[in-house]
Amino acid sequence: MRRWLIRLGIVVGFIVICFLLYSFGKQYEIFVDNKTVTISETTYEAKYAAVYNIDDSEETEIKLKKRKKSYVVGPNHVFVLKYVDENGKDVEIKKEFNLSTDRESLIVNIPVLIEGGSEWLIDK
Amino acid sequence: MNNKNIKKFFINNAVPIMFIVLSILAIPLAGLSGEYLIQEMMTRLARYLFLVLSLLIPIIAGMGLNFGIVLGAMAGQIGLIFVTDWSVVGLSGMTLAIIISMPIAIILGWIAGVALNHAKGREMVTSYILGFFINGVYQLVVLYGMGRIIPISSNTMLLPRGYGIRNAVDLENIRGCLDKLIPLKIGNVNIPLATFLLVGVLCVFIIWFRKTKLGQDMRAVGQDMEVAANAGIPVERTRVLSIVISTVLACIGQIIFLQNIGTMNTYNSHEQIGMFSIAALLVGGASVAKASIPNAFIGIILFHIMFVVSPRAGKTLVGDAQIGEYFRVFISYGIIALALVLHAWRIYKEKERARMMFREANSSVSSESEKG
Repeated sequence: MRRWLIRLGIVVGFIVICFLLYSFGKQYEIFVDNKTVTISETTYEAKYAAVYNIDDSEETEIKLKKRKKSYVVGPNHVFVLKYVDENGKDVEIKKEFNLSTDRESLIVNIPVLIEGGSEWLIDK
Repeated sequence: MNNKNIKKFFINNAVPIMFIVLSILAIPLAGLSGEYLIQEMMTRLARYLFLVLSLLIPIIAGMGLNFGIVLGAMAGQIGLIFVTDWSVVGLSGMTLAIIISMPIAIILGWIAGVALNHAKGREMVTSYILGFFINGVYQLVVLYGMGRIIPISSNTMLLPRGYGIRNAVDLENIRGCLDKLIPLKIGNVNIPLATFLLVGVLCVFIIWFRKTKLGQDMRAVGQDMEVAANAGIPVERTRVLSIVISTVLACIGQIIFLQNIGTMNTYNSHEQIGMFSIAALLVGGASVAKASIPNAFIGIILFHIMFVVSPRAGKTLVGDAQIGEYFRVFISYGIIALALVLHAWRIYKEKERARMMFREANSSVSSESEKG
């Protein structure tokens, strides 16, 4: 009986390890859009060229009406957006987000993020 | 060292000596730099060591060279297909592939072990043919089962008809994840330190394992199955365990091999693994009945020096790199044949010597009794 319990414990342990490896090692595709977009009948206009980075990676420049692709690994991330507004003031927006394993590809809408909209991160 | 000992040394080490001589002749002809050769050897040692070392345990158990390591390789590839489909990257992906494929390797190893128990004395040829049989099952699962019965979500991995895995799977998700984990560069030579550390752990495991009760049992079974059975050792179970351990190690070895290569040839990557690993071990001076860790290291270096230099040497000698490659292939498979012939010859000689000693002892006993 004890031997079978140990074996069962090992199997359960392996399943837990598999789940952790899967959730912490899963890679997601992130598309960063700097285009005018309409979500829930609200139109968010793209106004600024910007620079972004995800999880302290190298900064990427994104011009107006452009899309860039990045990859992230694991569930917890930080998206940092920097741009210069119409008054010439440097603006930095920092957003933390979590990804569940059922998601594969996502879109970060920069105009929605700048306007403070809640749907700045949507599934592709 | 007297003449008899020198002769014995040359007979016992005929294969590595032949390869050393060939390498000494071919290296200057190839004209490759020492740095390039060292880099190539480092890469190839990291790529093949785990696979070659997985052959050692069945040899201890007297089961010869386990051509059935391709079963483990197939299990490893199934794990890699899943982690690639699930987009699990890096070391997490590699570890997950190992954990997923391990139960498959255990089942395949157990099947192989049971089959080999029914073919005692003909383990090598049986494991070789078993590899072909399981290859058929593997192809059935991967070509027809995946995407139909087994869910595969990535369209880039599936054939255009919607089921079956494509011929080549890009392992970009795990490419070099272990080799580059601890970066070390000496001069211009990159050393895959993490892979070597893992191989070191396996070497320590093998040394430790030989001293355990199970390891001693395997040695006893390898020396004489009847004596081992009379001593109360479960011979068949011990033999099955040796094959299971070898298959699991080969499964991990194939994953390490493919993370180094970075691309998986779904239907062919595993096929040559058994032959190449066994040839490398034999080139290192191992035999069907005896092999050690140094044999694996020496064998991979010598065997793969020939891989690297023979096309260039062939081009220098006859103006065609392909001739050098043909020569290498001929040598590689010839080596296996030579090692097997030498093994059979040694067994024959030992039996003859034992028979002579028995006759001499008998004749001396009968002459003494006649005198009495």
